[in-house]
Amino acid sequence: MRRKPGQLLPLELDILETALDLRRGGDDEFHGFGLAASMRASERARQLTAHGTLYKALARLEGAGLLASRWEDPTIALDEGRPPRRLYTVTGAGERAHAAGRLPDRSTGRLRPGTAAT
Amino acid sequence: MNAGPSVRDTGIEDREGQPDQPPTPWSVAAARSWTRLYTSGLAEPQRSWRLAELESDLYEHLAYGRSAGEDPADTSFEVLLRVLLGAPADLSWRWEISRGIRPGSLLLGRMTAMVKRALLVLGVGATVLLGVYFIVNGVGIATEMGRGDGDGSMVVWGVIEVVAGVMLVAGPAVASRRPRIGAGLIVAGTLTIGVTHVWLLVLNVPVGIALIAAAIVRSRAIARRNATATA
Repeated sequence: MRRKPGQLLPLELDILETALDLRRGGDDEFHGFGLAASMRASERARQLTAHGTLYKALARLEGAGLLASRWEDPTIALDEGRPPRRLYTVTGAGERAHAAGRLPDRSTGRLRPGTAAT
Repeated sequence: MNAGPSVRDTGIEDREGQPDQPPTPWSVAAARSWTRLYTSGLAEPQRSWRLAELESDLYEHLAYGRSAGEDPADTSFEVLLRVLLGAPADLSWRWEISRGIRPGSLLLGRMTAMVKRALLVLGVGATVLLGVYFIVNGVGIATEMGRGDGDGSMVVWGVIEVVAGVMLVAGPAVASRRPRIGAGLIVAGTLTIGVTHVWLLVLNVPVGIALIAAAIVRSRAIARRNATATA
């Protein structure tokens, strides 16, 4: 899908909305599959978002400063017998961008002018 | 961001084969192979992070399917669907990462350049061969006429073939220096030969279109280079 200048794509808005829902539910951080499952559960997505689409969007949002990520402590993953998770969190800029439905300007950090998302 | 895990740190493959672990669905193996393929040659940490993130996703997906009581075949199919539907995004991600790091030195960049070059060589080769054939054939028709074996109207066909052949040979020769004139000659040659051999349009129209596209791309590249040099 082609992006209008400064505009968040529907998938990016869905990711931010779902992440903020998770935060309201007490989960500050989320991982890729958890997010995909929550998006499906909340009916923002009909099926689990494809790997490539999901991780590319997450990388894009992180690159724009709307998400931040860290790798979970490997000892926790080891104790639970699973691979380590990459944990994402919505930044302040992400919250503002979600509220406005727009990407921040990279140089100023301010939201680009335009119509706010409804 | 903290340092991510290396490829080996993901650990999921170490657990395979243990007696308490269910067999790995083939779609999971396909997802891993695909990820290894499109991340091959990428600089660290992009590659190991993408592989580790996928391993985590696959593990969580299978665990989720088991806890939800899903049929393993359904989960496996869902994994495959996620791989297939995400493949274009994977490739464009790879392309963007490649461009951002060292364009021209990565696998995809090299492959794209090789495919472009091969198509160009094939297109030019086919056009020149067709051109030579039409020149020889046209001259042959005219010679037959000289012996008085044929119909007088055939001279016209012979001349048309020779003219079209010359344009098809000259077009690629001129295209490297004058892309637009080269493309124009190929178009003119293609249309001219269509008069005598309508069926050949099936072959020479696609070849002509490919060459015109190549000429336009080349012309733009030359214009960009000139603009950069001027700046």
